[in-house]
Amino acid sequence: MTHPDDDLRSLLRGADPAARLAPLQPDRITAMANTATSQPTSASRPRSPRRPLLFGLAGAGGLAAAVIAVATLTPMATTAATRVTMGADPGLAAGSCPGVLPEYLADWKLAFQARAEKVTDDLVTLQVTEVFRGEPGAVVEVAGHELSDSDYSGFGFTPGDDYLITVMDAAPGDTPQIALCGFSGPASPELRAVYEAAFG
Amino acid sequence: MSPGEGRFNALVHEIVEPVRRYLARRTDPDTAEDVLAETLLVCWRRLDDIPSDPLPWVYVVARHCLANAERSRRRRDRLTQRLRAMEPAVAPAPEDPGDHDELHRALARLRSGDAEVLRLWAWEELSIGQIARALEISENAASIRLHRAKRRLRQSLGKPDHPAGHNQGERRQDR
Repeated sequence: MTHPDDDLRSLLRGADPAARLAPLQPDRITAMANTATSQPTSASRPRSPRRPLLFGLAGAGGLAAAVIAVATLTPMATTAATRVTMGADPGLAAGSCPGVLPEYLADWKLAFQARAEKVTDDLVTLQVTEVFRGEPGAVVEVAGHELSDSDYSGFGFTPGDDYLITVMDAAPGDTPQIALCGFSGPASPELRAVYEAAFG
Repeated sequence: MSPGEGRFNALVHEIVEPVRRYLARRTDPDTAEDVLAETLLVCWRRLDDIPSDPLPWVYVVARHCLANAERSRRRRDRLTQRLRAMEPAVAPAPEDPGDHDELHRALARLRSGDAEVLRLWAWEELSIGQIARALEISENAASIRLHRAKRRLRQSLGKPDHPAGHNQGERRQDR
């Protein structure tokens, strides 16, 4: 029995660019598997000292007075993971956040999307699913997330949900900072559009 | 070899050829090789999350890894252009038109989402349910998108919507 789209499928299959791709030898496949399993599966570096910070965002376009709530982040040089601490200062008022515009994000060094894999009282494990800029590694751990509060333009994490996160450049000798105030948060078409415009 | 490594090794032998072909259909050979390695690494790190029907899930991972690689390449190309004041680089064609020039041109004229659902249907040979998981959309949305993409490809090729005698029930018979 023929299917009404058999002709179309046959036409497409005849144009398959992979049709002439020779199969890999079994020992080559095993070697590829071994290469993957030789990589670390999670962060193993000791925790770095963490501190909550407020960052003044100086710049053109009326942003000189704007303040962004941030979280500390410590890139891990020896593994694929990155350590993050969320900790907004209670003195920050929500009204001091600037609007989320691509031009504000364009010069920041790390931007990525990640899925919350595990959420405990003191730690969130994020699996990076897409990198817009920089090298966050495959796994990002967020500590102190319970301190985040909507009054400070922070956000909570739910297992299985996706998040878009940007990291601000740090002052010399300081650790990089995750930007809150709406610059990082649950992945939404609107926030993704900003990221695409800033980093795409 | 640990039980996890043994399970992963078996998984790699199951998925590596389909994923290689998936990538060969969508990018140049060097990028495909890099992205395949990255995809396998993500699979290893998320071994416990991989469902019993792994391929649609792995295609999602490969799609994200490929998007990352393409994004990096675009940035690199832009930088190169600025530094050398060169003409814009032409992205390498992922597909050799060969004797199917008309079809590849027709695919290129489609919206990217339409072309992708057709590739998953014809080249990866996925069912509607698997296409839905690979695109992270509902089965209903996948069925509608495939139906629409087939019609648009036929129109682009100047072919009738259906061969004689097959005008009804297309969506119900998608597979």
